[in-house]
Amino acid sequence: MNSNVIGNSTLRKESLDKVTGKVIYGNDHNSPGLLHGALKTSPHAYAKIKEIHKEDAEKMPGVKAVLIGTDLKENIGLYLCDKPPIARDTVRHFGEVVAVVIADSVEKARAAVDVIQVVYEKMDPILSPKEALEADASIIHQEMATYSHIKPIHPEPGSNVASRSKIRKGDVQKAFTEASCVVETNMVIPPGDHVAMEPRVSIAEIKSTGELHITSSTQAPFVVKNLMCHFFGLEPGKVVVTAPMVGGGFGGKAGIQLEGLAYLMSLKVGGRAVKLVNTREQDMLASPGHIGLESNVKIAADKNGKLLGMDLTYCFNSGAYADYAVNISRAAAISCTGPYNVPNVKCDSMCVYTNMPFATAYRGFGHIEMAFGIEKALDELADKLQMDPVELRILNSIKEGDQTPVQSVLNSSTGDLKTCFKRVEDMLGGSVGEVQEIGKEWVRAKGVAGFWKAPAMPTNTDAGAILTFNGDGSCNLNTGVVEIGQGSKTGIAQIVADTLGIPIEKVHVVMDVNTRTSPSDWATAASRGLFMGALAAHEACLDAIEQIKEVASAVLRAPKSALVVKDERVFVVDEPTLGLQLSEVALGYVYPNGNAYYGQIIGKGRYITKHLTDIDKETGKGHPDLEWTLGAEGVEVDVNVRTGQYKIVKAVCCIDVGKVINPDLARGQIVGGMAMGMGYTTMEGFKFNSRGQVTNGTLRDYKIMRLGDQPEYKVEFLETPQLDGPHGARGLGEQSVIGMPGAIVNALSRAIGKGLYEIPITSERLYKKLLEVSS
Amino acid sequence: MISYSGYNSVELFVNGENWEVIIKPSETLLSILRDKIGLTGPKVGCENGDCGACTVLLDGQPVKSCLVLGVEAIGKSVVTVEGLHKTEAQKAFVEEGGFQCGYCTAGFIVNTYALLEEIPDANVSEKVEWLSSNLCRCTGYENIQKAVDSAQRMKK
Amino acid sequence: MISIDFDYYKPENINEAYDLMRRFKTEKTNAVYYAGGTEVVSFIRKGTLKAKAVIDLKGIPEMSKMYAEGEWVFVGANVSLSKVADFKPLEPMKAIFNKIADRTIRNSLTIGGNICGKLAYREAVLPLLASEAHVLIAGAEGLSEKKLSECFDKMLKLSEGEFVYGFKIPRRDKMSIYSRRIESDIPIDYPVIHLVGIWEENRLFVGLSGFAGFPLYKWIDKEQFAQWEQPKENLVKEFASLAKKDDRSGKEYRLHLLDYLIEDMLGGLEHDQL
Repeated sequence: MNSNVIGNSTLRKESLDKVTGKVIYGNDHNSPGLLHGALKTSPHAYAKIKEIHKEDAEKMPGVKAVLIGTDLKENIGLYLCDKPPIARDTVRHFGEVVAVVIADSVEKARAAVDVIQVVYEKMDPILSPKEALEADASIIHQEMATYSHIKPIHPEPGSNVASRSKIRKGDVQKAFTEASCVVETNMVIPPGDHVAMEPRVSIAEIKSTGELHITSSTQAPFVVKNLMCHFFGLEPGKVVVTAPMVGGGFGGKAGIQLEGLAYLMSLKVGGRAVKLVNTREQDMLASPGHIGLESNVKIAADKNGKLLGMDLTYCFNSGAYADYAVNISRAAAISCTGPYNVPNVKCDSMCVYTNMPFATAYRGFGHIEMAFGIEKALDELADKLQMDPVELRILNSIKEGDQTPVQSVLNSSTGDLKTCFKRVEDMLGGSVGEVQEIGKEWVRAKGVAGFWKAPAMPTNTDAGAILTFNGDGSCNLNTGVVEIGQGSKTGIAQIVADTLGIPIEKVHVVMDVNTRTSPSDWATAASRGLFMGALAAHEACLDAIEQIKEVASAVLRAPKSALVVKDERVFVVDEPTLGLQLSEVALGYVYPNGNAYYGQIIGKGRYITKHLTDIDKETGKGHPDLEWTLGAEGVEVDVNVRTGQYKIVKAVCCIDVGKVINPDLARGQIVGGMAMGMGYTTMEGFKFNSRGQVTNGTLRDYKIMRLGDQPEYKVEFLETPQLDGPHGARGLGEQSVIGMPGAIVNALSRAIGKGLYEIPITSERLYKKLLEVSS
Repeated sequence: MISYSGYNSVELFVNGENWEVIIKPSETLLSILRDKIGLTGPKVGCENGDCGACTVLLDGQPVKSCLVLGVEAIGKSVVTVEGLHKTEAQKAFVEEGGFQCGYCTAGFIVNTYALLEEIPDANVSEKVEWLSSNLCRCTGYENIQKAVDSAQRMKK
Repeated sequence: MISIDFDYYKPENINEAYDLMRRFKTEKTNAVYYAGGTEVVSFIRKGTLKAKAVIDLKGIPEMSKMYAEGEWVFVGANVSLSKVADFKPLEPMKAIFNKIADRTIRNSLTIGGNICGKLAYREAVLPLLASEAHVLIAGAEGLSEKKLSECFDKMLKLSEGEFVYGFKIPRRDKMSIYSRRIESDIPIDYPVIHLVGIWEENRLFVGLSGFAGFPLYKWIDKEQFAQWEQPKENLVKEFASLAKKDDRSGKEYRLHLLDYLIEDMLGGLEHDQL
């Protein structure tokens, strides 16, 4: 074992290509003859399409074809087939695709889009889950009863509820009756966007053999492959999806995005290669963003602050289509209490349709939204009981042996949440409950939040790895994990270098993922890429080592049990000079007399989740959670009590990851997640006018953090081992975004002495609350 | 008076080389660099001057090439990230982990390089002023800031 | 990738430019003047500006010049805002110019473009108005020079085909400038409110961008100012009724910030300047 690779901040494998502009992302593919698509989108939030006139567009120079909704019969959808790839007779959100032009250049395609005429009959849009759930609300999906769906999803035809998940654990009514203290919060989060720097792109070509080749900026090439077969009746062996390096995903490129449209476009033009790339505006609105939430959180506690029960109602704002959202609302139900030991839980988590841009997976997968309400309520509980907010959370931190809301018992791979809170308190300089005056107009306050997440994924989620070798004893590592910036491919390479006992420079990573040549991998999402990819790679290494020893055993005439693979050699354990270079074995051993033996080493490894089950429809009972990564976060904010402006001065996080494989990459994930969480809370989120049109659908108006806006970051890792993880590691890609809204809202509410309940917390909103305080 | 209507054959000077390209007035410098010269380093991020992923140097000054017409670059020197070789900025971004997905990186490196050429001892507020022109969604800017500082030290 | 075609012209002197524009107007061809491009290219791409011809003024060399001469500083309309901000003789105004857009955009965005473009913030005009700058306008008779304050009301008043050639700014070694800008979330953004206060010998210039649908400004004589018992309230009253509501802020918040910033300005500047 090469023990100085694990825990080492190895540089990313693809670093040099990234700083020289040599990486080929999806939209960098170009060739003469490649056709290009452009989208026409709806200016209305809810309307019937009465007429579409595309004849003028079809006649324009360079235009090959124009696709409209009525050309296509099928609906698509990840879990619930509710979405026509192009709006058929109804547009259900602002920015929905109503037509696609295929032309020989982007400019010509866009010019043709401008001459397509659409006649709409406007309807009154529904612009909140609350409105959607009213008894007389119009039904956005009238055909819901006909939509096919997977078993764990429970749609309610005749309503705007795409799915309902229920948690019933213990006796919540009793808990509330016996409680000394009850708090209740109502929180609102609007839908918003991922704002990955790379807009989505898909290229599709149908070969003469009938093979469909797709290149796409996807986090989930195998999901794309499977869904293309499912929706369009294709053979899995004839669908090849390639994921190149992706410019940021954050969940927005998981599932199926532009690939279906790209396929339909290629089909329309006789199988020719077609590229469809979003403009930024389309990437924000026509493609899905993140889910919104209206939550009602009731918490019951005894006089010492011990939580007795939670009664939770989550109305997730899925927007016009369900996509991933039905699973997000389910995942939020599974984790509904946050990382706390709550013996009695009632949760109704609904995925609700509205006429707003629709939601897909987003970093945190429902947990960031859920945690906002829970963490605010906990702070209000602490206030009521006059307890320190950190102390309250430590008292109730979930631990080994406790039950999650779905009554699954946490095992010994559970992180040390109590210490995470203590470390966060320390990093913030203590006194979390205090407000400090730091000038004429400024006060300083702190806020904390806890977070946890287990991957929300199918019970048969899998990964694989293949190792082949080169003449110098170096190896080629092939997994299905996509490089979206998280660095998992480098982390997995470190595992391989460590297990095989070769330098990290000798592990050559296949960067692109190709579903024909890479082993199957569920998706690069849910913070499980390194975890599962590394376990599969580790097994592939052990497989390769077995084969290496097989060869060496014959050549060195020693039993396999006496052989060691280390430092690029295989040798006899008590006679280390008696051995072979890996380079002699890698591609078949050749004896001095010329005889060849055994052949090339090919290592294979696999991983599939163990013992996972679905949850019961009525009670939520089950074991869907593979491993929990938990931790705590906090912020320090300076607030100008005259203007409502504020600055996040410090953002801190302590997270128990089991084992840090690559410290710099791990820190990068945590800091990046905190930055996203800060933007999410303080300035992001779609704005709508009364007609349901999004008014901030460009990067000029939809603000994300810039250099200079960031706080001082402090990150600490705890390493309570994940016993079945690679070197004891757990996933960590999402978690640090989850606690940010809670920590920030707690700090700001404390600073001004009044509760805040709506995201984004702009300075104007803060100012209005300050007015309430002074009156 | 110089005028262009429809396609014309013009010469652009990019990364130290002369390129003869056939362009029309409505083509942006970004699309010409990417689609006609094959320099895909500068990226399409927003086509609106907001994200900076398309940043290139025009006569040494960083500009957002999505808002520059190709015809404006005639007679000037254009430098893209592909024209920067083993600069301190590139070395520092690698060592400090100043990127994750890498999509914004070309823009940041071109801007950082130009900043340190123009103001070798740029102070914090100058660095923030220049580099707040570029968006990054992955890193939270901590490592980008470290990379810029490190590149500055290396140049001394 | 712009989906419409247009022709490109680069005249070499102001007569060529003006005559060309006149010709287009007569032919009813939709033509626009072009300088930095940050506005025109963006609007054409989005389809909000339908131009069939752009007349690039950057071919007129004097319009890119900037120099101090005697009592004046000449700034050609095509000089980029970043160059204007970095010009030593204009250093007191630097703080205002450097708040506009972002640095890389300012390398392209010209001072003429900021003042004459479609976006109504026009923050660069405020210090120019305050210092009683002159504007040189190119038109039918060649160049004419006017006081900027006499032809600026919400925007620069230009006759059809006219364009701004440059500005002559009275040289000031020292200017007592207050500039404070508040945005809704982060500094790189349009302003919710940008208050500029400039003390001259015997009067105070107060300018606002972002507060109303166009830049606001007023000069107040030192004597009148001294007579006010409640200078802050009086100043606020000058502008309050024009507060706008938009995506970045409601009216009430703008009014509150106006009150706050004027108080800050009056407190911050030396009272012995009254």
